[in-house]
Amino acid sequence: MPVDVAAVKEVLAAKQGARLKMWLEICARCGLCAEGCHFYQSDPRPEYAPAYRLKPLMEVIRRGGEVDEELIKRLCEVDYGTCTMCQRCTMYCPYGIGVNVLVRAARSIAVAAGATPLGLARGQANFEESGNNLGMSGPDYLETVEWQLEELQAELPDAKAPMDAAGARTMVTFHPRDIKFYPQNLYSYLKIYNACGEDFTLTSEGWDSTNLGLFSGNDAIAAKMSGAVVAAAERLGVRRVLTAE
Amino acid sequence: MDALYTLATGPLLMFSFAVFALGAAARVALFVRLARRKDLPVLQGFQPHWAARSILHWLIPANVTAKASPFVTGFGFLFHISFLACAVFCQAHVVLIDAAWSLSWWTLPDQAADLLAQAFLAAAAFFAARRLLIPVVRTLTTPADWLVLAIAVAPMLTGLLAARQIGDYNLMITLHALAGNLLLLAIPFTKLSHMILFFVSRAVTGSDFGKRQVGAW
Amino acid sequence: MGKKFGFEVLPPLKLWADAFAEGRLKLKKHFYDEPATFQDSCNFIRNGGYFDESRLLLRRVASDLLEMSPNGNYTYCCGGGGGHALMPEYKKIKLATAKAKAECIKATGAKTVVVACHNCEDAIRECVKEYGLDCKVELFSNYLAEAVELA
Ligand code: HEM
Ligand code: HEM
Ligand code: SF4
Ligand code: SF4
Repeated sequence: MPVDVAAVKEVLAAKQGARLKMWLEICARCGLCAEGCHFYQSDPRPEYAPAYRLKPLMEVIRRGGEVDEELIKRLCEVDYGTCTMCQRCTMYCPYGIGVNVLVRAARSIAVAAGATPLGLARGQANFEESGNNLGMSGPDYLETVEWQLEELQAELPDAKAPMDAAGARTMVTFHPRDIKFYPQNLYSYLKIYNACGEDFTLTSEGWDSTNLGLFSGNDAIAAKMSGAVVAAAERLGVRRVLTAE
Repeated sequence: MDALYTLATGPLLMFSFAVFALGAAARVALFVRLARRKDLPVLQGFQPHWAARSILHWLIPANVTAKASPFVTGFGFLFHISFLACAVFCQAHVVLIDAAWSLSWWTLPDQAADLLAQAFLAAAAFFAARRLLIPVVRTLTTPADWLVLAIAVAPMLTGLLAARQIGDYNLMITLHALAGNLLLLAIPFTKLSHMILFFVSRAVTGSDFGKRQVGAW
Repeated sequence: MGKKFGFEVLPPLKLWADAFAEGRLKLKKHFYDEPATFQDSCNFIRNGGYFDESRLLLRRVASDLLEMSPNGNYTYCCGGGGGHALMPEYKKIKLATAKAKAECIKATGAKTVVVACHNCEDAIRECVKEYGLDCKVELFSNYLAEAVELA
C-alpha cells in the first residue's frame, strides 16, 4: 500500500489548529490520564495510557508529514485500536487535554494516507451510495415503517407515522439498524411519540443521523452525513431534530 | 567569574526576563490568532464563567485526580508552590530586584527558603523516580521531559548550595544566576509554557464541558 | 456541528424526559421490579449532559435502580464508541478492555442493563457475554415503551 504523502501533508497542515499545537506541547507525560481510560483500567499496559495516543501524531509532525507505511500502521493501531474517543481521560488530566480531539486528528492522517479501517470505510461507501451506512434502499425503509405502524395500530388504533409532514415540530431520525435489524426499536419510538402526542414527522431522505465520518476522522464525509439530515430538516421546516438513540 | 555573574544578573537577566514576559504574552496571543484561523469554535465557545471555574477547580487539590492520584497531586503542589515561593519571595531575589528597580516586598526568612528549596528537591526526586520506575510514565517519558525537569531543578539546587555555602560560593552563585536565566528563557519555548497555557487549556476545556452541562472538568 | 441552524438537535432521551416532566408522556410507576442499572453513555451523558433526564425516567419506571461506580459523567466507556462497533480487527482488544465495565456491572448486582445508545447496546451485550454476567441488556426506548401508560 503506497502512502499518499502529499495528502498527509495537506491534512497535517489543516489539522494543526490552536488546540492541537497547545496540547501536544504542554502534555507533561505525567500519566495521570491513565486513571481515566478503560483500556488502561482493564489492562494496565503502558501503551494503553491516553497520552500514548499522542505519540504517533507527534512523530508524524516531527517528520513533517513524511510518513511511511510502518508509521501509519502504528498510528492506526494506537489511534483506532485503543481509543473510543470517550473523553474520560480529559476529566483526569490536570490540563484538561482533549485526547479525543487529538485522536480525531491522528485518524484524519490515516484517512489521508489511505488507511481507513475497512469496516468504517465500508460504512462510508454505503452512505455515499444509499444515504445510510448499512446500505438500505429507500423502499425497504418505507416498508419497514408501514409494517411497524400496522403492528402498533393493534395496540394503539390511532397511531400515526407521518412521513415528510412539512411544518411538524419534530423530525425523527434513526440509526439504520433500527430499521434493518431491530424493527422492534422503531415500534417503540412510534409508540412513545404517539403516546405523548408529539407533533412529529419521519423523513424519507436524510433519516440516518449516525455519523461515521466523525469516528473515522474523515471530515469531508462527516460534513456530508450531517448535511443530508440538515437538508431534510430545512426542507420540512421542523423546529427540532431528534438524533438516533 | 565575576564578569559572568555581573552579566547574568545584569543585561542577560533583563534580556531573559523580557523574553519570558513577552514570550508568555505571545503564547496567548498566538493561540488566539491561530484559533481564529483554524479553531474558531474554541473562541466562539469561550465561556468566562466556566473557564474560571475550571481553572479554580484544578488549582485546588479537591478534584478527581487528587483522589485518584494523591501522591502525584501532593508532590505536584509542593513542587510548584515551593518553586514559586522561592523564586518570588527569597530575600536575595527581592534585594536584587530592589537594587535594579527600587521595588521590594515581603520576603521569606532564610530558613523557610531553605526548607522550601529542600521540599522542592524532594518533590523533583519523586517525579524523577516516577519517570524511572512506573512503567506507564517511563513509556511516556521522552528525553525532553528530563531536560525540562533538569532546567527546573538547576536554579533551586544551585540556589540552595550557594545559600548554604556548600562548594565554591562564587561558582555556585554564578551557576545559579545562569540557571535562573536559562529557566526564564525556556518557559516560552518548552512544555514549561504550561505556566501560561495551563490557564488557556483549562479555559478551553472548562468552557467545552461547562456548556454541555457536564461541569467544568 | 457547532454551526447555527434554524432548528435544535436533541437526543430522544431529552424529548422523553421533557414529555414526561410536562405530563404528556405517562409512564407506569415502578413498572419493573427487577434490579436494573444504566449504562451512562459517553454521547448522551458525558458529552450531552443529560444525566438528570435519564434518572428522571429510570426512577419512574424501575423500582430498584442501582448505580454503577463510577457512574454519570465519570462513567467508563462501554467500549463501543469511536467507531469500534465497525472495526472487527480490534475486537480482541475491545473484549479484553471491557473488563473494567464488566466489573462495574457485576458489582451492582443488576439483572437488567439499560442502554441508551446503539453503540453501547452492542458493546454491553458483548461485554455481558464475554464476562459471563447474569443480566440482560435492554435498549432504553424499548424499556420505556413497555412501561408507557396508554390513555
Ligand atoms: C504558575 C503556574 C503553573 C501551573 C498552574 C502549573 C501546573 C502544572 C500542572 C497541572 C502539571 C502537571 C501535573 C503535575 O505533574 O503536577 C505541571 C507539571 C510540571 N510543572 Fe508546572 N505549573 C506552573 C508553573 C510551573 C513552573 C514555573 C515550572 C518551572 C519550574 C513548572 C514545572 C513543571 C514541571 C517540570 C512539571 C512536570 C513534572 C513531571 O516531571 O511530571 N511549572 N505543572
Ligand atoms: C533569574 C536569575 C536569578 C538570579 C540572578 C538569582 C540570584 C540569587 C541570589 C543572589 C541568591 C542568593 C544566594 C545567597 O544566599 O547568597 C539566590 C538564592 C536562591 N535562589 Fe535565586 N536567582 C535567580 C533565579 C532563581 C530561580 C528561577 C529560582 C527558582 C525558584 C531561584 C531559587 C533560589 C533559591 C532556592 C535560593 C536560596 C534561598 C535560600 O535557601 O536562602 N533563583 N538567588
Ligand atoms: S494527564 Fe494530561 S498532561 Fe498528563 S500525560 Fe495525560 S494527557 Fe499528558
Ligand atoms: S478518549 Fe480514548 S484515551 Fe481517553 S479515556 Fe476514552 S478511550 Fe481512553
